[in-house]
Amino acid sequence: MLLYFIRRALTAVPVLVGISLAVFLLVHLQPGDPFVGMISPDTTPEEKAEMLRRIGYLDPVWVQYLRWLGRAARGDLGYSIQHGTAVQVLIGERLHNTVLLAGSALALSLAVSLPLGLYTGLRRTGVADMMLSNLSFVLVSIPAFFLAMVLIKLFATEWRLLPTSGVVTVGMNYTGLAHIGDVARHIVLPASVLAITNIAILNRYLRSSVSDLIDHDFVRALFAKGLSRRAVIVPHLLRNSAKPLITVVSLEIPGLLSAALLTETIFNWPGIGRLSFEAVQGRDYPLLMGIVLFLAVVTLAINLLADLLYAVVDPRVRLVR
Amino acid sequence: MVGFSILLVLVALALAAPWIAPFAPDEVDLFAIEAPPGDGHLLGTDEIGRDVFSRLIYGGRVSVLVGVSAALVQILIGTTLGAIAGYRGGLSDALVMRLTEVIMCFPFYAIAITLAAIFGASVWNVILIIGALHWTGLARLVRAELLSLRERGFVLAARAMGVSPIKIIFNHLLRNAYGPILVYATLAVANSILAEAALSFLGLGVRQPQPSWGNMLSAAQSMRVLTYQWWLWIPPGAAIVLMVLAINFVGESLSRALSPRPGAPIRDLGPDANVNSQTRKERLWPTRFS
Repeated sequence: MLLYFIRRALTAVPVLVGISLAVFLLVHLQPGDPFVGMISPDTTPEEKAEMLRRIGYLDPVWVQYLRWLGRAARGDLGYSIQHGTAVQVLIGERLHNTVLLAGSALALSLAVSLPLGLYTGLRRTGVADMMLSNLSFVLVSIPAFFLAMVLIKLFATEWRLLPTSGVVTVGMNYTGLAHIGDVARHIVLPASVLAITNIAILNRYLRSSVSDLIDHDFVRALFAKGLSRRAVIVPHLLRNSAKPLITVVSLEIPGLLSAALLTETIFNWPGIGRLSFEAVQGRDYPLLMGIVLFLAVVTLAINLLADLLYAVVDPRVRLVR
Repeated sequence: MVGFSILLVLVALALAAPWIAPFAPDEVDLFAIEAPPGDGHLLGTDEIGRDVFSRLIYGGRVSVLVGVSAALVQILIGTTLGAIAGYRGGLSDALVMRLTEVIMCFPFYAIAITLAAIFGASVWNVILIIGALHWTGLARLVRAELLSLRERGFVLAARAMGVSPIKIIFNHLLRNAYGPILVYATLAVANSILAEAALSFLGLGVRQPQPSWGNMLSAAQSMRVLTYQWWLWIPPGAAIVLMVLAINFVGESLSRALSPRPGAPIRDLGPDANVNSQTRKERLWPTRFS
C-alpha cells in the first residue's frame, strides 16, 4: 500500500515540473516588462535597463526559471499590478468564497444525482429513465452563463425571490444566524447554476455504472442466494459504484473551479474565478499567472488524492504494475 | 434523427446566411433602435439599430466555423500524439501522457482567457486556443484503442510483411478505431461551440462588430437588457442550446450505431474500465466546458 502511494506520488513530479514550465512560459510571453505602470515616464532607458538588470530581468532564461520556481515553491507568487498586494494574499482572501460556492454546488449535485442515478440504473428501461436521460442531454447543452441569466431574470427580476449579486446584502451587516441566512440566500442561484450541469453528468455516470454492475455474475449470485433487493443494493452495489464515483467527483472538482469563473463573474461572487477575470480585464498578468498556477497545483493534488482513495476502496489497484 | 434534422436546418441557415438574412449583420437602422420584435425586424434590433435576426443567422456561421475547426485541430493533435504514444509505447508514450496530464491540470477558462489576453481575441485564436487545450481526451482515447489493437494478429502479420509503421497506423489501427474517434469528434464540435460562446461572452473570443452567439449574449450583462429586452439575448442563447443539443443527440446515435454491444453507447465505460489511473480519464462524455 505504502509502496503504491510513493510510486503514485512520484509520477506527479514530472507533471508538476511541466505545469511550472508552462506557467513560466506564459509569464515570459506576457507583453511589457515588470515596471510598466510602476515607474515615472521620464526615467531614462539607461536607468531602466540598470533597474531591470538589478532585479535579474536580463539574466538567462533558465536562471530566471529557477529563481521563479524557488519563489513559487515558498508560496511567493509576486505582486499584483492592479492591487499592489502579494498575489498569494489576494488568493487567500478570495479562496474561501470559491470553496464555499464550489462545495455547496458539489454537495447539491451529489444529493440530487446519487438517488437519481441509483434509481435509473436499477430501472434501465423505464419511462422515468428515458425522460431523465433526455433531460440530462438538455442540461449539458445549456451554456452555464445563459442558464444563469435565465435564472436571474426569473427568480430575481420577475419574481423578486432571491438576490443576484455578492455574498451578503450590502449595508445590512448581519451577524450570527442572520448572516448565515443571508449568505445562504445569496448562494442559492450561483450554486444551482454550477450544480445543474454536474447533476446531469453525475447522474449519467452513476446510472451506467449501476446498470453495468447489475449484469455482473456476483449480483446474480447474491440474488440467487435469496437476498432481498435492499441487502444486495446497499452493501454490494453501492460499494462497487463508489469507485467510479471517486473518479467522477475528482474530475468534477477542477471543472467546478474552472466553471466558477463564469458563474462568479455573472453573480458578482468575490471568489478566485472573478478575481482571474478582473485580472484579465486589468491586464494584471502576475495575478493571473498566480491563479493559474495555484489552480493547476490544486487539480494535481486532487487527482493524486483520488488515486490514493481509489487504492483504499479497491485493493486490486495497488497491484497494478 | 430529430437531432440530425435540426442540425441540418441550423447549418443550412448559417451557410446560406447572405441569401436568407433580411439585413446585413452590421447594417444600422437609425429609425429602429432597440425596437421590439415585429414591424420589419423579425426579432427586433439592438442598441445601435442592427437587426437581431440577421445577426443571429450570421452568428451561426461563427459557431459552425469555430465548432468544426476546433474539433479538427483537436483531431489532428490528439490522433497524431495518441497514435504515436499507443503504437510506439515506451518513452514516447510516457512523454505524451505526461504532456496530456499537464494540460489537463489547467482549468480551462483561466488558461483560455490568459491565452486570449496575451495573443489577442479573434476567431482564429479562439479556434487555436480551444483546439490546443482540448485534444487531451482524444489522445488518451486513441492511445488506449491502439494499445489494445496493436497486440492483435493482423497487426503482427502486417508488421511481418514489412508494412511501414505509418501505414500500419493509418490503414490498420486507426481504421479499426474510427468509431470512438468519430463519436468523440462529434461531441468535440458541441463542446467547442459552448467554449466559443463562453469566451465571446466574456469579451475574449469573437469581437464586435462580427456577430457571434456568445458576444450577442454579452449584451445581457446589462441589467436593463436582461430585464426588459428579451429579444436581444434569449434568441442567441436558445440558438446555442438548440445547436449543441442537436449535435449531442447525433453523437449519441452515432455512439449507439457504432457500438460493438448493440444498444449500449460505446462511451459508457464500465466500472472495470477504471481500474487503474492510466485508463481513469478515458471517459468521453463529460468534458466539462461551461
